[in-house]
Amino acid sequence: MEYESLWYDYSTTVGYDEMVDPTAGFRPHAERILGRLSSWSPQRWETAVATLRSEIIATGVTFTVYGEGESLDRAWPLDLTPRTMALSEWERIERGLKQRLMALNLLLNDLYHEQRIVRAGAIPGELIATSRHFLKACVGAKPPRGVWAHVLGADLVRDRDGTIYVLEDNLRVPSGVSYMLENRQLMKRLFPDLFAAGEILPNDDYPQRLFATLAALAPHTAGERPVVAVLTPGVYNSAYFEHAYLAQQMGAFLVEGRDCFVGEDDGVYMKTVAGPRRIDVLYRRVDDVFLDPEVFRADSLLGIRGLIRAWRRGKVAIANAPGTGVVDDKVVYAFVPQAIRYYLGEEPILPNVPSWLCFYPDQRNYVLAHLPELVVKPANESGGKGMVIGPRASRAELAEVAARIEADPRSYMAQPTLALSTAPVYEEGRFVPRHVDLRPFVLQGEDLYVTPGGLTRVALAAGSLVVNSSQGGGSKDTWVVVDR
Amino acid sequence: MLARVAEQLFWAARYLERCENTARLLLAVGDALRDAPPGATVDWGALVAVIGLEEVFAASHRERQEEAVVRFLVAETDNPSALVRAVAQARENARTVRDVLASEVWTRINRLYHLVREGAESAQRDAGARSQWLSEVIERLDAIQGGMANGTMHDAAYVFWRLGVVVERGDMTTRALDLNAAVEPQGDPLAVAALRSRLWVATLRALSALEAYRRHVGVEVDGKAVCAFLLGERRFPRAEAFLVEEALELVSSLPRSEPVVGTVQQWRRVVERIREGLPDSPAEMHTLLDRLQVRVAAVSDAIGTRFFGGGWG
Repeated sequence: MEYESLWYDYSTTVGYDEMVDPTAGFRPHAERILGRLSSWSPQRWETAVATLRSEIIATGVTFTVYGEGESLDRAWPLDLTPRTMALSEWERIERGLKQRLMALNLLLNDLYHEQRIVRAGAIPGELIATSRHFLKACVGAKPPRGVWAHVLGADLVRDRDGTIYVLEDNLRVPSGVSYMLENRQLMKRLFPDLFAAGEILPNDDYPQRLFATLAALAPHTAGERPVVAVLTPGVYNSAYFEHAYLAQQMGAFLVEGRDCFVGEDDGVYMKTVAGPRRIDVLYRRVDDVFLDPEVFRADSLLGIRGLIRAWRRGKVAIANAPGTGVVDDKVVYAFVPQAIRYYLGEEPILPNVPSWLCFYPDQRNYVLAHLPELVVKPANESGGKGMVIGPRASRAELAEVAARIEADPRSYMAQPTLALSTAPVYEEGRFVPRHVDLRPFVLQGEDLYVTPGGLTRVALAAGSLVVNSSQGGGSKDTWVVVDR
Repeated sequence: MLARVAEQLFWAARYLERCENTARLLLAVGDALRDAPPGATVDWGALVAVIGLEEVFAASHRERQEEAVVRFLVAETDNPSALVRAVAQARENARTVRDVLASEVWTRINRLYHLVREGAESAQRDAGARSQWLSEVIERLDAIQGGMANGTMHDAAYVFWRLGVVVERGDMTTRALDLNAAVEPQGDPLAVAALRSRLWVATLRALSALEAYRRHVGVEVDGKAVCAFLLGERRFPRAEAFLVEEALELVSSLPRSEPVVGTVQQWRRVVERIREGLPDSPAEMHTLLDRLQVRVAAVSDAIGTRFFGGGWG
């Protein structure tokens, strides 16, 4: 290594490090890339970081932050050092994710039909009935092949001992896949010399896979290319870049609710310059309750009036189906391992993070007694909203969350504070460890597909555990490295 | 093609073309005014009048000097056609339809947006920096049009984009021809005559027509001949006669376009009459240019009603 000083105070004592072994140096799957980056001079680093940033600004890879006045979109924060993972480990994760999505779909279909799992006593019926995202309007619906969730974004984290856990399932409108794709494109374009043929798994066929998954849902396709449309809330949504990106990559239409209407035949149409045109499949990136003002929120301007009627009559396919949010509920999440055992007769390959449900009096008492060491999460918020990290919270915050739990125990759950693994980030002339998570994307159509790797999010501030890009988090290109 | 997307493309193109027109006018006319012969007094406010923004300008300005006019056309927040705002608007329109734009076109629009924002301030302070900056802005705009013409399908999306360009340009050509009437130079008759001739040159330069004019009409720059060229020359891409033919072709290629074709035909009839002969008096000329502007605006309205409007049942 020419510039060993880059590593002089790299400390891996905060937890498991993805790429550096505290006793043996670089982990085998990280050796080549870290070796290459370690030979860069400080000047080379400076130019590379500047080039990366200006390319991101020029190509307009952005995400939106609310409440910043005029600056609607911000440059996407991509950290230059890739995060690596060994293929041998990845293959197990991939199997675990396929197993999980399969079970989630069986669970969803069961919950909206006979609820056998409830009658078998594996999930309390009361939890389902009181879940905010269990939608009565979906009971008895029959989506093609009984598949409700075609796209899953699963949040994976690694604890101190190296175990990978599923932290959350995102089934309503999982986002981030465009950034995963753009990260690789940017890295390959700007730093081709970091790549070696056959070393890492490519990830660029996701748009084709997604299109195939969606097209297979079309109600009537007599050899013609079905009309697939991405339904976006519009340009002010934080994930608008992704909606436009996916539509462009798939050659699909990008529509807003106001572009569409349900016709007298209950078909869904979009308003084109040549008159109305029928839509076969909607890849919706609008939350459940905004989808149809006729059934859900009457004040929604984002949805399409009559859409649920059209969907229930099989006139249009919707991915993910309405109603999938019930398994995003963090209390229902705790029962996914049970669902895997119940429907598939298998042990879960990827464990859940141990969870205490305030719904049960004994578990609630445990949570209330151990608040300073736990992470408390509301059942139905996303993006880390309402979450309280015990070890970092003030007394007042703890008292406040205790009161909220007592008032509405059903809506809270708690987990131990995980150490979250770290990966190296280059900062001011040296490498520093920063906490990361991983969001792979899983598709279920005629078969199952997992993106090789996924989107790695990184908390750029020292010691921070918050990886959300809206709160100062960054991202990394994620490499699944062939290790045999 | 979604109606909303068609509308966004049409307006993105109009805003970009407006930027190009403003940049070209500022560059060409600015040179002519700064270089006015001794004995003639000039009114920079004429630049604003030519673009049709006199009322917006007068609402917040009593000064009509170079500094105020340049700021107004480059960066003033009250002026929706100011370069900085028009580019931002075009980028926002493009962003909402970025799924149908070629990535390289989007990237160029985005780069232009950053160039305009970053250069606007020094362009106001320093006339030299301004010339350079305006030339670069024009070059980038041409690169965007090139990307559209050469790097994308010439499908409905392209047709609506081109219609935006043609309509905006059709409007601007008539306005640039009104420059001499707007400036009304005062003072010593000889100096005024010299300045008038310079302003005709500026009109030609603003429409990048000076060289074409010299080659095809003559070295002498004469007002009436300039008007005849920029209105009636079918082979020059910023002349009305060229634009109206392109508009007709574009509109005819769209579905359900009969009513719009009708309004383009009306525009074309005015142009045809002009090709037969121009009036001698400046007042009559001014009226004629106004009539053309009304026809162009009618085409824009008809496009909006027919394709962006509704009637979906």
